[in-house]
Amino acid sequence: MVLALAACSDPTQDDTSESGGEGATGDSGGSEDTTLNAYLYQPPASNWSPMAPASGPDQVVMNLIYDSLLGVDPDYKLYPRLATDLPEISEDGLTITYHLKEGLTWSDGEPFTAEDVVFTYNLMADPDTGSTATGRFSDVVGAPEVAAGTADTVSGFTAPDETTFQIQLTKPNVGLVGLTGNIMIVPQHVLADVPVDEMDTTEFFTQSPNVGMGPYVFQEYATDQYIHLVKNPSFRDGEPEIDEIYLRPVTSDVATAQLGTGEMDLVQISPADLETVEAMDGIEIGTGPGAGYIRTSVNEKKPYLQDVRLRQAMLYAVDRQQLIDQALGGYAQPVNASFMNDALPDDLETYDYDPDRARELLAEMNWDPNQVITLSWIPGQRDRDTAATILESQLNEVGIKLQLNQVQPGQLTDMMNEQSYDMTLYGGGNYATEPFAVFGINACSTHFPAGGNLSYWCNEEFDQLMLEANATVDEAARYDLYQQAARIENAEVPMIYLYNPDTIWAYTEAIEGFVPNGDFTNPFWNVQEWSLNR
Amino acid sequence: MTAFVVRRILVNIVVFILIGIGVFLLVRAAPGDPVRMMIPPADLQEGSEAFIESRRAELGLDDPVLVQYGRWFLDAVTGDLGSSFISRAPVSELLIERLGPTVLLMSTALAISLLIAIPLGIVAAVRRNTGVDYAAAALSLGVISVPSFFLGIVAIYIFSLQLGWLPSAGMSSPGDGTGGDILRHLIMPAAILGLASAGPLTRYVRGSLIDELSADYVRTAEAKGAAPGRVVARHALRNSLIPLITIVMINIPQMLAGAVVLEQVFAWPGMGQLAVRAVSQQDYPVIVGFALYVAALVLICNLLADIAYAVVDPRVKVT
Repeated sequence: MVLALAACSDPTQDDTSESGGEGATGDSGGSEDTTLNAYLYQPPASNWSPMAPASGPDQVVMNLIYDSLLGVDPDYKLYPRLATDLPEISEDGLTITYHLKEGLTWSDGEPFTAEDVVFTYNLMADPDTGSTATGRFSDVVGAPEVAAGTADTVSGFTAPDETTFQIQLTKPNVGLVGLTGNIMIVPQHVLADVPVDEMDTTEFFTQSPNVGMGPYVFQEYATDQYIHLVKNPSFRDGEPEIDEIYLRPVTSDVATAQLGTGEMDLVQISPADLETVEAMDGIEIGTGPGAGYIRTSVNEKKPYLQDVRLRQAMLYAVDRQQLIDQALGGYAQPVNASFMNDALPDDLETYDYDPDRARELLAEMNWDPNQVITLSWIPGQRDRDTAATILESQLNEVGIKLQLNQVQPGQLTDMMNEQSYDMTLYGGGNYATEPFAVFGINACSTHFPAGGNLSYWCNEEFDQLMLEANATVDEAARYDLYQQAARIENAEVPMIYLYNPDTIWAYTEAIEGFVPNGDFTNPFWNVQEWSLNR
Repeated sequence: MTAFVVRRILVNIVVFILIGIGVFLLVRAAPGDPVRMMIPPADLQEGSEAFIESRRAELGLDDPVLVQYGRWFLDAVTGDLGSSFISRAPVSELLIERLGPTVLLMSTALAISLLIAIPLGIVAAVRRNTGVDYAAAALSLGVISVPSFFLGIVAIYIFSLQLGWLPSAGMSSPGDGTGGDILRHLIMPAAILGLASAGPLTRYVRGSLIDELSADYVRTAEAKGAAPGRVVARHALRNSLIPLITIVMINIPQMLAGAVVLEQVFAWPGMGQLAVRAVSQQDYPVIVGFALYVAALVLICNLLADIAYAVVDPRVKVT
């Protein structure tokens, strides 16, 4: 029973960390202390600020120590967390009103109010704090002035009373809810005196973010070894069951091995490790679809890459199901548009593997079989590397000369700045919750570097539909517009859609209540409902 | 002697500054842009560009490289190596935090390697061309040929997973951190790192002892009737250890390279992990800080080797 030895922390040990118990800690003296050990795929950058550029491992930590008005569940639907319900949007679409739960306190016992929310949203809208997302608020009254540095606070963020937070807009922008409702709220009473331009280097964010609204409270980061969190007695849903969580950055090999010894309780694994893990006793597997997808952008600035038939031919020429089976053990879905869930119509062209159709399209457009196209990507991820080689062989088969070009991240950045790549393979994004996020990778106005449109595709009708949808308050009408946009995108193929990979979790069956989330930065989304029965 | 040491130190300082310039310029000559890399293309949105511009200005990346170097150098002489682009923490803090674990790992490994290499080398030299010698040669070649990360994974598999004797990763158990706990975590990485450098060291000890054993003064000692053990221990061994000092000193920076890899495998919270991440994120100040630390280590080791040589071997003339 090595596992019991390794996993059991010393129950006699004093909890020196009564940071903000306010007497609510209860006496755990008699009962066993429960500790959960979870894998972190990389040491954190140790900047636990919602304004900082996204860093996956830090995000995992922040999802435990902070809370937000709204959350995103494993179906990628918004649900209320600090808010009582989804926000009300006025009929003219210009006012968004959140009602907050009453009687909540921060983990140090201070009351939580709408002022904390106003404070946080102001930080997010102010580029001086190091925020990367100021552009999301461009339709909020007063936000452009803050972004330009001519005002200090956004007049459109207000707290009419202690439990109401309001956003005033200059024009309707429904997508703002999905894109900003999950911003993590930080404590005004701790941060109010920090100058805005020192917000990204302040000790609270870089060393000890120990006051939050999340289910757990930050205790300690032992450099590169573990992050120690303890349950928050004043969490909105009541104190969580599991007393402590350790997040431990180790290599994926070690993590998988430790799952077998009981040193690790929850690990995100790759399809390659699935067989090993399935053979272990007492380990369960759970999966959820990711929020983004893997694709290759096709640079339409290059004259020889502009014909839509070429891109359609490429999609027909690639057997994506075979790719998924080969590189991901079947744990992915083929993609045919950037839209997901309710925004995805069910009548899209699915571009099933059909090399003859690909050859027809190429013949029709008089494709020059001697034209060489280069695919550049950052190697090192098994599924993407396999995808690149399959693309090479299958495109060559139909008469498209594809050449593979492995590059360093810095090189790829330079190629993007110079628009010098033909095609580039990458993944990411989050299009599952808020369909308007697709605008950022497909619109005429979001060509790189203004946005993430790396194909330099431009379709005015598509843009029109997207903007109209985002301004439409009625949900059914809005999603109808998104579906129309999706049909255009699907027919025009701005990028070679490949697949949406599943996130795979392996966890000890001692965890009860675990619901696998496709968002790999948020395995703990419902941690307050978990218990650990060893 | 003092003049020799002072001159060597001065030369080393000049070399150190030149290395600093070289590393600083090389890192910035690499393709890419550390600020742009903070936001993956799929996450670019309105406002990202404003962030990139303001962050570039804040980090001083818009200035000519020489201006950047000047600013950095003036700070560096006061001990301020700048802040990480990513975590925004001071580089010196990041390095010092991780210095302890790395030094602990490397010094233990060095001790282990000497404890293996010296006795094994002596036995192999004295009993040369016997079974013991061949076994020692095979062992040395074995640990030289097998990459240490592989040995690391195999060791984790055997001692942690199968036997359950030792913890598989980290430097301490969460919530523990007593000396005994750290020692249990230290055994595997230090033993493997030590073993890897024990291989070549054994060969050096053996070779150099064989050279000495065939020297005239050894024959004289033998002729005078000294016991064979005494000949080896008192005469030949002492002389044969002189070149070993150099080898060990040169070996320390090499050992650091091995440590960088093993720290990854064993999740040891040392400088290696920091350096690898900094390179992949183009975190210039951290890369430069780490490179300077390695440069300092190499220069100090070389200097110590020179001085030790002068002290130990009277034939080395110092003027």
